[in-house]
Amino acid sequence: MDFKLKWAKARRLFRKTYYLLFSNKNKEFYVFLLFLGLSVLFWFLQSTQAVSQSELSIPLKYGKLPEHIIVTNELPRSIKVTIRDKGSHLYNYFTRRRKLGLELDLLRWREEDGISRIPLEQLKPAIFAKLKPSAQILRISPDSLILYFVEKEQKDLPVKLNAHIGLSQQYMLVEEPSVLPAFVTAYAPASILDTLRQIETEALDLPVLKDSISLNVKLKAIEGVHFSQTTVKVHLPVEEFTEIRYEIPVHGLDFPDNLLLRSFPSKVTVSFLVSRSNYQAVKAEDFRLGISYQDLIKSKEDLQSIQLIKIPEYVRRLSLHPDKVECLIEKK
Amino acid sequence: MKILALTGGIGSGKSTVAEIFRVLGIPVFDADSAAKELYETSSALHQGLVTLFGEGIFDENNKLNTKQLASIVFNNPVRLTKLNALVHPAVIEYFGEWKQIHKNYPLIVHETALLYEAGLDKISDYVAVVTANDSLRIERVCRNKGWNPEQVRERIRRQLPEDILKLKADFIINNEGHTALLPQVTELIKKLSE
Repeated sequence: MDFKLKWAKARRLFRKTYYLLFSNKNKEFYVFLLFLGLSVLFWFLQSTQAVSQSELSIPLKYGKLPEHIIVTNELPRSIKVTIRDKGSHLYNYFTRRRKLGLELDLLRWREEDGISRIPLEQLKPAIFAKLKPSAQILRISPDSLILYFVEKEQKDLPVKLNAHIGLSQQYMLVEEPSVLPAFVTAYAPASILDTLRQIETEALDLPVLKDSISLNVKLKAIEGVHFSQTTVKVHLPVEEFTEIRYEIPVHGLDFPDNLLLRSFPSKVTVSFLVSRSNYQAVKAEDFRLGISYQDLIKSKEDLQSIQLIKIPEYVRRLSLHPDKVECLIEKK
Repeated sequence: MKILALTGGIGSGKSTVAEIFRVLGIPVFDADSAAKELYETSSALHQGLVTLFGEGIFDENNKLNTKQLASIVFNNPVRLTKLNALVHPAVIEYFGEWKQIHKNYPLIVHETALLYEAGLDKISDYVAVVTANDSLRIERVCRNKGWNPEQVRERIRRQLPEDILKLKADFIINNEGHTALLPQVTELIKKLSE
């Protein structure tokens, strides 16, 4: 039963297709299509004989330099050449444009001061050699190449992270952002190297960080300078912070044995932020505050500033309340 | 013997000033600490509290549940008045005993936040008030006790205004942070010794 239904459907489809292709009404349409196709073919054949112009991208390769010399600036991988020729030739150039590639011997253009400007007009003979005799070169872009030759002048420079870091509320950086490597070797003519003190990364905008993040950041390019690497790895350790307060006594520092410090108040509030990972570890004993005997006897002020003698390195935004106390020196 | 009452609103810095007196050799009676001690040691006060607020006011170790007591009297003036009527006479009696122990001192100090409310002014020869502006007091209490500013404002509203304390006082000790306390206290002691 099922097979019979399918067979009937197939026959109906076949009849419809046959009618569409061979009915008198549709025949006219297919004849029209045939002649349209022929006219397109004639037009194409004619256009290949007509002279026209087209822009081709020609790949560039650079010959090896001696080991003690480098070119510090970025060189183009291709140039754009506008060619005028028969359509069929242009089509031919386009399909085998990779074979039109040029290899340049940079050393040929090296000037004494290390900076060379090569007008690309000079490449015309080499390009012509790869084209048909009927070809004309109308334009080469860029019109010139600038080369900064350096005889292995190098300098290790610190990398400066150029970042705008925003943190969600209660979140802080556990430590300073790390940049790896922290130093990058710059190669450039001595005149340029002398002006460089650091290498900046490209601007990094991280508006609402809530978690630690590692990412590769590009170094900001400097004209004529080649870096040992173009990116650095930046790590930003972010954690949720919470506030802790302790009452910490103020100690006398370097007091003679027979003398004793009395401060008012005798304890001050130390408030600070600590990351979740260090929350359990921090203790009041990790903090030590004091007033130096020498500072106290020299001071003419009524209130003395409290010195932080010991604080854990992982606490942030530490403040003392009050940060100054009144003092008495008592004989034991 | 001269008796100096040391008072001031919450967060004014009474305790720091009292500490200076102690260091300078002058005995200081702390009314708050005395009341807490009496809660534990005075059987009369213990019985009075149980009568007023029930057995549950003391825990299984016979320690006063201060949080529960505060929640009972907070915002209930009648209960607070009854509590004060029980505690203040006991503190005054305790101060009398303490004064006898220190009778050889030319000057003694008693520190209390509720000087006039507890009637301790009547047994004092002089009154010194420690003052600081409200915002500084609120900041100190929030930082030291972990209260929120509204809680501190509420407590300040329930205490005698500082202007009235100043009018009633014989000496004013400024504790706004920019004036040193030590010279003020030593000057006060000097005056009382004359």
